[in-house]
Amino acid sequence: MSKTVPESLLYGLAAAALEPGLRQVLLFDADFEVLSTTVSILHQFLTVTTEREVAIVPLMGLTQEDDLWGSYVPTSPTTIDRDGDTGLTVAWRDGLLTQNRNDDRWLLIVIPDLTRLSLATARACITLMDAPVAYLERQGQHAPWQPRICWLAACDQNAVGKLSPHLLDRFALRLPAPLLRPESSATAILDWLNTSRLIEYFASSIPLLDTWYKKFTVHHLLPNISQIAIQRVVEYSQGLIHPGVRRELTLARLGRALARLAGDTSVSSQHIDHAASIIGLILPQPEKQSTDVKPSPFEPLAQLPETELPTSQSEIQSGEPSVSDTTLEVSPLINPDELAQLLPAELPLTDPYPEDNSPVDRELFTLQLPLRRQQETSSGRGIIIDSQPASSLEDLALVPTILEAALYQEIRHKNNLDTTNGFIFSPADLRRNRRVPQPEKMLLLLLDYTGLRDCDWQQSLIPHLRWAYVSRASITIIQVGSARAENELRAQRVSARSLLTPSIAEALEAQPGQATPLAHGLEIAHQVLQQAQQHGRATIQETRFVIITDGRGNVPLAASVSGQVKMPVNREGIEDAMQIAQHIQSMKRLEIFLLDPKPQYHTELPLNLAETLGAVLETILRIPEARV
Amino acid sequence: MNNKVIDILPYRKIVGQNDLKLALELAYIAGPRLGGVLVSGQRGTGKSTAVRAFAKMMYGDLPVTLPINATEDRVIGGWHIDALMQGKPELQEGLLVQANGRILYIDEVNLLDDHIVNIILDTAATGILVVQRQGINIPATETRFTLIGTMNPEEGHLRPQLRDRFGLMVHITTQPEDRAAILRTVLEFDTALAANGPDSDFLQENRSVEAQTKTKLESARRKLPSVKVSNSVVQQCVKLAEGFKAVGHRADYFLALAAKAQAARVGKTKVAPDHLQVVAPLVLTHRRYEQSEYWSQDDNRRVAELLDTKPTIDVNLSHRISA
Repeated sequence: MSKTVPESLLYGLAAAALEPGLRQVLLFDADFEVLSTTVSILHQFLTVTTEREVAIVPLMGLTQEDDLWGSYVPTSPTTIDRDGDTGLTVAWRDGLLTQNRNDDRWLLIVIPDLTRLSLATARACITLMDAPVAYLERQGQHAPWQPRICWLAACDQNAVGKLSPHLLDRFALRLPAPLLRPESSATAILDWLNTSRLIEYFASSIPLLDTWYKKFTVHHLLPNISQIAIQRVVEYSQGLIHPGVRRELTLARLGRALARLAGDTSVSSQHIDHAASIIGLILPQPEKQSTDVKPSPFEPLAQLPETELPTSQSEIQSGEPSVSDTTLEVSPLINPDELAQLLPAELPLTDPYPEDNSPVDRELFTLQLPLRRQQETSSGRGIIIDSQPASSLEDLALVPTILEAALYQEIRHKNNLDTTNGFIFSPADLRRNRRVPQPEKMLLLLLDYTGLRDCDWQQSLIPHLRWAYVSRASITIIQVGSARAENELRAQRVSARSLLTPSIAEALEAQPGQATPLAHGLEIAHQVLQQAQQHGRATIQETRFVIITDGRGNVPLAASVSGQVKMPVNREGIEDAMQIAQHIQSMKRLEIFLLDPKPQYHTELPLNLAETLGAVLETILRIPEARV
Repeated sequence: MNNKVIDILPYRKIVGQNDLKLALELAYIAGPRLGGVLVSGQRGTGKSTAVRAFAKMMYGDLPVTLPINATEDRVIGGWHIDALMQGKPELQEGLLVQANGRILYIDEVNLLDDHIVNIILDTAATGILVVQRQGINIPATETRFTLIGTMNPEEGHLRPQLRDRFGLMVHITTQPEDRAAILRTVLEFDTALAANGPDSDFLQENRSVEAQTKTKLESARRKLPSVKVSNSVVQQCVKLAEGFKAVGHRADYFLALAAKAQAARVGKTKVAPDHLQVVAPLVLTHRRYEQSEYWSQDDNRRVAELLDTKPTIDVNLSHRISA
């Protein structure tokens, strides 16, 4: 596969390899292909600049504390030399992030999707990224060490609202991802089919070009940064409100790396401008630009890098990371004809700090450990995040329990002379799983926006929202007749883990549209209830279903499903709604409330619907009445 | 440690952050009785760097640090695992005991597990650590440490019980006019480290100047017991605490002790109202009834009214006022 890798990306990655302060790279909108290529390039660059072995470590979504920091694991052989008895021994094994604390390797941590990071990993990022010193204080281990980690994460730019700004801020260098066009290589595919190896996504087989090697080694001293260049950096942040100086430092360090790559001994404002163009930063006040000649965004300061990249997927995949080869012999693999095809492409200018303007789509305080909700009646459910001491056998974490007991076997056998054989457990060994708490209650709210005019529905809804908040319920809103609906013939749903999620407030504030697909809304509600209560290991024990509607559904269910209305409609929409209501009425562990907005016409419709649903009817005051 | 000595930006090279520096110095002079310092500030404002730099200057080493992922056995102590595996029960002291007489630093203190927070609270309040777990039975170990926590309020606030344990609180931001100076300093530090590491002129020069600061603070700490606090100053402490509707009963105590430390810090033998004026924001910010993190000029005026003095034009407060 040949690729066109923009020179600005290469310069960005080269800067990350050169400047320790830039070794937290966030790649926006990178698909797996781009990420894989970027990993390979950065790995090669780091191998040269650190002059050390660099291990590639992918971090996936479910990584737990013990995986990251280390834990006791059974050792082999599992023999205790005690009268020929066989027992279990355990030994400390460093985790993914601590594995190099006792050697001189570097780690290249790869996070394929930052939005799917586990809580443990997010907290580890906060602790380790950009820290001059790290501390391992777990399970008897006491070790301060200097982290030698380069971080590379990918993230959808539209999803940054889901992430903690605190976490995002740790990523100093933001780079937009290029579009790479993979080309089919029949040979590579056949090669792969004839072997049994898996696709190795984060391989490191791209050879480094002599030109880059020279760029990295031309200067050992850091270029000096002039006062003018510093002033230029400050100009880029003028008028922008952000805490700290991390962004300015990034720009300055990137400029310094570019100066170094160009063989310059000092950093000028031109280097700063070039750095800004690489990350997509623009001067907030263009009229105040200095008289320096600003280079075109991706015009190199020196010569264009004659970059060579792998020509086939197999080249990317082949071989382990070159962990033992520190001699840094480099040899071009691409012939000059192919090189001609690798023209640098431009990257789109994107805002390097989209979190400043993105709508917030996360709960508050996402880096805190989850609160324990009520009594843990749903043990055995929820993602396991750790283990903790236990006083009962419920949801026992077997491996941590055995490992805990293993620590004391020698001493227990010494103290219990009667027990010469077997593994001795004590109640103090018991460990149970610590899990992300699962909501056990749900508020399901069907909101018919077209029937809410002139009524004080928010006031009537407050007691139900309060119930959801107090009981830590998850919440699903079914929007019927919202002006924001992608298709006005269909209802749509918004779900969140708790009431505090900003998307819920947004959903409540939607404006009314034209159509009222009430039957479709009830159909979705029926599906949600089935999924929440009846599917697999569902955790919802109690649901409160609150409906706010005047009952005048004017879209038949068939029209919602097909997306087309067949005229005339008549009462079809209302009848469909009643039919689905009967299904819902038969469900268990369900408390239904219908808030009646007292429409001027067809006042019987909400009453009929409430009766069919078996709902408690609550009347919403009209606004003039409410004012009185 | 797997590497050479870890170098931190020298304390005297930290640009701005005068409130934080004042709080750290007062906490050192007054000792653990003052309850330590809570440093609140948004990302990238140099909170951790300042704390580490101060510890390095005063103790020659980084502070004893409790990371947010620490397990209970490392916090309070436990068995030495390797020895235990060989049948030898050896105790391994925890961080709370290791920090005795020094700084216990918790980065991102608001992200700490509640369970660990409770242990720290109990120990900090009593100065006594009791360990009874996994067959370990240590009735009481005395440990007095200066608790310093840093936090980013974007990630949640501290429980009032924990916040109140900290004698002083500082909220820091980065002033726009300081940005260029900070940039220059950090880049200069980068260069020095890249060139000669700990032997660079940059670090050597700062070490000698910092030695003088250290001597001065040590002297102030020694002289603290001899600093006089008059009855009228104590009355003013009570008046300030009441005037700001300070939550809990510690504000007046901490005001008196902090003012005494400030007097010692500036070489005085007697606490004066202006010493109280300087420390009032640090003591009262997190104890005020209104619970705003930001100290304002209005608050300064209230302090002056209550003390019956002129309002302080205190440059140290400038960044809080503007926040």
